Amino acid sequence: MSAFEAVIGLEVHAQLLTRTKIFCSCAVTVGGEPNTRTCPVCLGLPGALPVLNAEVVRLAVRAGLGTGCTVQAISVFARKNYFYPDLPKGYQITQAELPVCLDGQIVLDDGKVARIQRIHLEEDAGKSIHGDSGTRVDLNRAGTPLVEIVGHPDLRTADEAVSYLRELRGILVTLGVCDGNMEEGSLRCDANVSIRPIGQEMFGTRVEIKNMNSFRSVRDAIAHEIGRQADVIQDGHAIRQETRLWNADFSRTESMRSKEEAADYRYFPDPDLLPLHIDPAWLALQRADLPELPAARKARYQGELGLDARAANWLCEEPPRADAFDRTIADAPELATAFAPFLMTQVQAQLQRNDRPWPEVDAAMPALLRICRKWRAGQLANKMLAELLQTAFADTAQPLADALAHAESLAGAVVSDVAALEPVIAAVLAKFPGEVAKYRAGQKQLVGFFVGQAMRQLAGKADAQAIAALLADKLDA
Amino acid sequence: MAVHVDATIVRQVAKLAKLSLTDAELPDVARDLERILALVAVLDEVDVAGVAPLVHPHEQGLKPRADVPQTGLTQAQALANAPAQDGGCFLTPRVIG
Repeated sequence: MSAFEAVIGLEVHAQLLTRTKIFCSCAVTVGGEPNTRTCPVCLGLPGALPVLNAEVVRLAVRAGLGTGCTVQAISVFARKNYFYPDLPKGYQITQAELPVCLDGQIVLDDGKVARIQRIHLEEDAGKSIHGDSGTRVDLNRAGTPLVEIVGHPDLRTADEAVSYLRELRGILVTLGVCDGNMEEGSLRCDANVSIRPIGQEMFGTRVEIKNMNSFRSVRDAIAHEIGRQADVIQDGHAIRQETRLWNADFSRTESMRSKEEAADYRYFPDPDLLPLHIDPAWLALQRADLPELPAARKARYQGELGLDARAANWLCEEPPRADAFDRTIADAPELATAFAPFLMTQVQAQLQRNDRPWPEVDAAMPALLRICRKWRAGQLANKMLAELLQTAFADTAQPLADALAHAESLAGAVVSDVAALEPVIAAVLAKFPGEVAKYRAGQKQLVGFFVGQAMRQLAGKADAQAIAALLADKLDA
Repeated sequence: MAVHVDATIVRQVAKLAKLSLTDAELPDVARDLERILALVAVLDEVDVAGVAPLVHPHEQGLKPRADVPQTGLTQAQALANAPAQDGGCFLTPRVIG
């Protein structure tokens, strides 16, 4: 296996955050009764003509600018012809030779650059529900605007593919191009995977993998497919060019169709649509309108706020989270290095334990910063903090910020005054004369042991720093 | 430049176009396709070296519309021409994958 290297390229479909469909004024919303958001255009009725949604153009251009692409002055819509019940016209309107954006790039976590070949606009198909008695077709989704972002085969491992997808998702969400929800299918990813002996320049036969709806399934599916191809080659067989579906339940890819069955789409320019012209002056405005992108934000977090790479990456994975962090930390940048890991570890653990979603935390960040500040100042002991968070996150009856304030009021104050701490410390030192002797003989790390013992006596509700200071007074005297 | 169209090509094109042709029809269709291709091939005689491809005969671009939702058809209207329907959906013969 180690004698092979993988060659991976991703094709990512992102649903654009518009109010209406790409070529008609039907609303784009999820759910609802089937076939209640259609019109003659998206039903493909004879004589109906497509009219492009201006917002679709704006969002596609933003996606292109955010990924370093060259936005094309003229692009052309084309018909991709195939017959399927959820495609009422018998063709999908997409872009072929002349897409709206060309030649971009994504910078991975480790600094490696993965090139983007093109970004083109297209319409989504409807939804097919396959049953024993037939296939039911709901055309609410037909005509939903998509961009397809086609990457060059520059990725070499499953982890690089995930890093690419995470970075791309962060850019699209930051730009308001797509909500980035993979589980609901508003961000979809197909992977082209091949392997070749290390040192060989020519690509091996590639296999396309579909049906990966989470970062985890992207990583698992690609890693599995690389292993499968290596096994096939080492057994002396050839890789078949085919499309395979990822089956997450069985953790394997399954053949869907071979190259011989591959469709011939007979692309040609759509005569119903004039070319799309992008005005250079308007494009300059769009470029000036770009917000801070995740890469710049990560650099700022590390450079200006002093966060480590892990915390910076984690915050930037979810742009709304980073936005909330920025707003909260604006008046207290000195707390950033404590607050980011506090969110990433303690708060995230509570969310997972109580099965609550992140957006609740975004709204409660000011309260969390207040608590983090108290904790860092020694006004909340570790155990008190853990109990406070546990109480607040388990309380689903009120908004998280209110639950936190309530739990805070119940937590009480830490014991930090000398009069209360001194007798406890004296008792601990009396109880462990051997350890005291060792400490005085040079085993200074035993101070942690004494603090722990005193803390236990005080039910965890004491100021550890105050205890340590008093201990030092007694022991080093 | 003459292009030879044989029965295999005609069958393939017919399949893609969802047309059913009898074997007896194949030679006539093949001949028609050859004549169409020969006509279009006249264009190959034009020297286009150094000429930028024409994207569209009109110079103007398309005029996009504002992203404002409008009421479309009701479910009943959408399904009015459906040969079969079930639970608000178009019902087609079973399609695999």
